[in-house]
Amino acid sequence: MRKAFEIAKKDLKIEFRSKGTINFMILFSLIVSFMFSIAIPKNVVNDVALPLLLLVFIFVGVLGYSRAFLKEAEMETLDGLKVSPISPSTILVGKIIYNCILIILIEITILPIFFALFNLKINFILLFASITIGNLAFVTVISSLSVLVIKSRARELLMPIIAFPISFPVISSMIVVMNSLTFGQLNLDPLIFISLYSAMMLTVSILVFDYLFVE
Amino acid sequence: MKALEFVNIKKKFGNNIVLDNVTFEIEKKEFVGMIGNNAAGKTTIAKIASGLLKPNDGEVLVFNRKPYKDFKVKKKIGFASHNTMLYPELTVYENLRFYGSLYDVQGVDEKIEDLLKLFNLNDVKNKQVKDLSRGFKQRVAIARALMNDPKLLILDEVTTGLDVKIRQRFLNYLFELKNTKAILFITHYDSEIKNCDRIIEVKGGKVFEKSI
Repeated sequence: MRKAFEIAKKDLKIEFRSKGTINFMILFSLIVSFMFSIAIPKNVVNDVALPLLLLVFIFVGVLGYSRAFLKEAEMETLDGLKVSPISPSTILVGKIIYNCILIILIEITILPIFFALFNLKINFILLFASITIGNLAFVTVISSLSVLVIKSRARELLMPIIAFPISFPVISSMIVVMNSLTFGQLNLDPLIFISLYSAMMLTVSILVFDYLFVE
Repeated sequence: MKALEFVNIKKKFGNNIVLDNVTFEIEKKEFVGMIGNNAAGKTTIAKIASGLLKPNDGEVLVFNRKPYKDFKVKKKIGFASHNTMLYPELTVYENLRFYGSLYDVQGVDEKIEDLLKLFNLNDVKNKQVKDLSRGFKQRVAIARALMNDPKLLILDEVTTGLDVKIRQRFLNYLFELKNTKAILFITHYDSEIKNCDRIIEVKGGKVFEKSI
């Protein structure tokens, strides 16, 4: 686990120096949020705002999370990790930790702006907690799948095609959570389901990752 | 126990057979030079030995363990190639520190200082790797491979990009390491391997012993 944190720490250091992914993810989230806030009629804003927020994070996640592995492949540093005495699953966990920190930073930046744009009157803490659980599940799925698309030339196109069907249970459950939050309640059942689904995905990924990683 | 054993190794990429029944071994404290033309299969041999690639057929063993399967044996391997495997945004020190932490190197700061001194890297220690010339990057890459004091050192065309002075200094250091660890030194230049214990030539995916 210590080595997974070393990998995440290294990735964060690189990201804060290059700002290649985080800036792009924040900018993309802002543009989409602004577009939604202009395009959605005022009378339906309250009904659709939270599912739209979910959509923003799904878009940004599909484009951004896989960068953790793709960047290593592009810089040819993945070989450096592969020749090191660490299990492939340690690398995966390191990338998941890095992506989790990244998405929490993006949530902290985007959520207040989204609240202001849509003039939402929802419990911020509950929304933050719910969206974080959903995003963490999404991070687990996409980080695990990234290694499958590394070798593909059309990896940016391939990622959503693979990721959406596998993360569909998370997306549909999150929509239920968002709808319940719209009416001022918190439906815990789908959040429990999402947490269990994430745990299951993480376990499966760790079990098969060793096979996927060796060429 | 041998440091490295290749037994009837076959590797193909698609329909292209890169290694065809390659068999050779390296003893624990043997210095083996490997030469061959471009696309002969030298880099594939280095990658299989370091655990980066899995052979399609045959058996590869490093200290009796399969390097592509048993990640713990990689602690005994040092691997450097023309791909430096360094993070451009990290400094020289940070790169070495990071890899040192993955290998659980004891006294990592002292080890880094020694290597910086050996490869004359002290002046660029706090520079980001992206700001370094090819020669400097190559020096850091070799230092990275030596961080864990490996029992098996695999060097694949590492002298590419080094200036004459540093290249000679590195070769001298390498020959000082002779009889302390197993070394597989892959190069294009006969002059670099004249002091090896043994020379293996790779031709068309097959290996041949070559007289010194």
